Amino acid sequence: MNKDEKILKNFTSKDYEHGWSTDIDVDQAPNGLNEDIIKLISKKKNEPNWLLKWRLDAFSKFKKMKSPNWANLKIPKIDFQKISYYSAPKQKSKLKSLKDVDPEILKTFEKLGISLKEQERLSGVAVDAVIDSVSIGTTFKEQLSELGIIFCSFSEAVEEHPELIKKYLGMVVPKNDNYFAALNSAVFSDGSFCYIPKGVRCPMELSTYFRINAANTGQFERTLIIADDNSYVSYLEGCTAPMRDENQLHAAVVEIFAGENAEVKYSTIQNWYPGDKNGKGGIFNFVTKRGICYGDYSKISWTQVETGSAITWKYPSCILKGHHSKGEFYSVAVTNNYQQADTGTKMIHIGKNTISKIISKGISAGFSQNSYRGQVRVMKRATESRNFSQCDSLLLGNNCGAHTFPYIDVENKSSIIEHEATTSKIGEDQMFYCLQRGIDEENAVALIVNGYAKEVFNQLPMEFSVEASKLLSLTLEGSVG
Amino acid sequence: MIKDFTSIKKNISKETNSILKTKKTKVFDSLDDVLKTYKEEYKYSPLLRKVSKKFDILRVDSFKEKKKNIDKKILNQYKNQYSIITINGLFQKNESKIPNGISVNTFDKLNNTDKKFFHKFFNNQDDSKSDIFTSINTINYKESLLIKIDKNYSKKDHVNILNFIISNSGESINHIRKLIVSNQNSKSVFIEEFISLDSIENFSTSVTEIIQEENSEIEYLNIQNDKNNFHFNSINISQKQNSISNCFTFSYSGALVRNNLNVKLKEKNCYSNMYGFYALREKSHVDNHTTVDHIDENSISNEHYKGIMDNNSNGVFNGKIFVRRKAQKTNAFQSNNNILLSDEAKINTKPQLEIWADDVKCSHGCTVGQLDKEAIFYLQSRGISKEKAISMLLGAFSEEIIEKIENQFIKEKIKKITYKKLEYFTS
Repeated sequence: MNKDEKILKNFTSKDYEHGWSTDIDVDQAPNGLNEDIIKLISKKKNEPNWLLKWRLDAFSKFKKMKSPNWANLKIPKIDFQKISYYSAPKQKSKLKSLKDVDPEILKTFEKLGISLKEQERLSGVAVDAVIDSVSIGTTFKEQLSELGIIFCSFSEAVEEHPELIKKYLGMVVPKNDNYFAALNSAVFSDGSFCYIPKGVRCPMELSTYFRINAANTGQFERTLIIADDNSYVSYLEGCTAPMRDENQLHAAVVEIFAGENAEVKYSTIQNWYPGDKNGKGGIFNFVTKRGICYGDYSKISWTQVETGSAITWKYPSCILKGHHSKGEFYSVAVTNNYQQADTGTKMIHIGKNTISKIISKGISAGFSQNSYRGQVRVMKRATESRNFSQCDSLLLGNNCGAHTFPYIDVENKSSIIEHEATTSKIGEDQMFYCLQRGIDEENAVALIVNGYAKEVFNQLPMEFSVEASKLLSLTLEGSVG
Repeated sequence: MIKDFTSIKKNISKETNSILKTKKTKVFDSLDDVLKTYKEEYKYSPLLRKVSKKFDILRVDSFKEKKKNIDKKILNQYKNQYSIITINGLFQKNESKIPNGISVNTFDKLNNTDKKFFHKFFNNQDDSKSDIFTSINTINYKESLLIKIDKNYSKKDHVNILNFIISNSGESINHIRKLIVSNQNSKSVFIEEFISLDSIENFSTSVTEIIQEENSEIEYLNIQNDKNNFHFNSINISQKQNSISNCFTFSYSGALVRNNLNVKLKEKNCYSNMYGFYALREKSHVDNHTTVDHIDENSISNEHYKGIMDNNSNGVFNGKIFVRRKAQKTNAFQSNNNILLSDEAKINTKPQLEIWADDVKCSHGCTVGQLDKEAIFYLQSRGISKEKAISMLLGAFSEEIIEKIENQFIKEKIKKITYKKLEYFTS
């Protein structure tokens, strides 16, 4: 083994940090997927009848669908009957405030670096913490409600704001949109709900933290963000899971609605358990995320840092319906060991003068496969539209793969589309430059990789940006090409 | 759409050569697998659906040859030039003029050593990963041609391959099949054309396999300019060490034309250039699918396709670059530029990279846009009419591809055809 390979190996063999699990009493539904389970979930959540009907309808559609096989992924067959679709920490009574939350759970989040108590006092981030299937607590609720902002768990929103849920649920991602979205629509357990009223600029970052804890469960959360006319919100999402030998399924749906002149910024740091060095275990992350720029001059921006999951299948998309609306997608996807990622975006230009921008940076190491799959579609009506896409791949080591599948469909003569992509390794000249300035190889790689991903990190809110760049160096520690 | 292909099995039973028979049976057996890839591969060009509506594509043809004549006027255009002539896929030895150093023969006329040679290379791809029309061609062609270029051949003059199609004799479906073997150190230039001699709608498939031995160089051009033609064209090149291939595809018209260009760089130090230009009007639909497969080290591939779409035309481009794990130090470039001149025109493009080796430089770029208004204005301000200005700018756009042709005679010829076509592109 030469020196380069050694450093590469050290760098790429770092263990998963959040692999522990918490011992808490859970209320778990029996394994299996059938109508009774859906009814059980619905009952546990005190849901109105229409929502149960909606779930059952989604389930009947799901049964007719087939698992998608077009992605550049090798997905082992998932036995949907072996998964428990509902798991929640046992609660004695309804929680009034964070003080009533089980201290064991609070400790869990503290260990993850998200102290709910501290958050409440100090920083300017409102957090909704979701463990397994249920939202544990939401901070800063009162302050936000003074501005008319609704930020709560999905089940709470179903009870308190059924009119909003009824209007917007399934508007962007219909229940039969795809296989995993249909599954989610049938069995979704909880998630976050957020409504920003007209003309309000949300003063703090809203954040949801997802944690899978129990074994043999799937997590199916549903997030709905509605930004009414002239509003602004920045939303963060983070996720981790314990180390387990079997694969766990995470099939979430995120829907974003942006009214006229509204702006939504959605950032994700995805750090689900990626499986061990031999590719055993890990989370299957099959997520449908889509936003609609419904009103004129609206804007949706997706930023994602994908470091975890055994398999990622995720395409945060924008439907640019309003004239002059804007969609952005910034992504850093890192795969190591035997991870597989097929991720990218869709930009559907419908309104006039719509603008979209795609910056995707893929980094593959170990034996992993990393794919970018994106579509830019300019409809006939979307005159004078503009798109710029850039998707770069960095290969660390010669056992991994980087793939790009961009689809570009243009149907009018006044739009301008540009797409560019490159694939390479870290340049010898770049390494040499760092080394001769006294930076050791490991730090040089970290420096270069961070620089490579900087364009995306700059889009993240400050706290997240620091975390992301730390996470990146950890995941890739030791990679010299 | 056709799902059942059993009827073409009859054609296999007619095959007298036992080796070909087994090859064809293998192709037939993998048809179902091939059909699975159809949906994605033909996403924007529903060729199978369209032709199966209009033509009985599985028809079992009689192998009897009818005598057909080509108008002398047409042939006079190619006077004093080397040319290989086929009519409806059948080789016309008497009309053809073949240079010394190149031998052309149909499979039946080959001697035993040549037959062995033919079997070694014929249809050597992985059948299950093949294309549905390539498979149909392999099973249904009437006559296969072996074109052998001798060692050290290096005549500067080009060789025309003229494929005439006469539909009014009741044959509107034709399958043309060729195997070209370019031996060591040879250097040759081919220009292939497909010419319908009547205005009856027809469907033709053409599969050309090109085997390049060490140090050989081949320039292969393809011109498509048939309005009523449903056409499938597949060129499969397999290159050995130090060989160079230059492929050009020029498409100007076609009801639905699909071009597959597959290049395999099997050994070290290969060089492959792929260029394409499509200028489409009215309801033309042209689909260019290219694949470059870098299998071994130190090879270079370079791909540039440019297109202009007007009226209701539809252009499709899909470029794939594969770089296998062993193919370190690969350089692969790909670029696709498109100009849309009408709101009814469409372009679907998918430049695709699949890379498993790390020490590589690969890039692709793709643009869709229109002519620079300021450039048009500049020309107009110099007293040039708007129409003329547009065709000048489009001409300049095409030039980047045409300039890459090495053979002067062909360059001038293509330039003439292109500029004549571009005169109509004025909106």
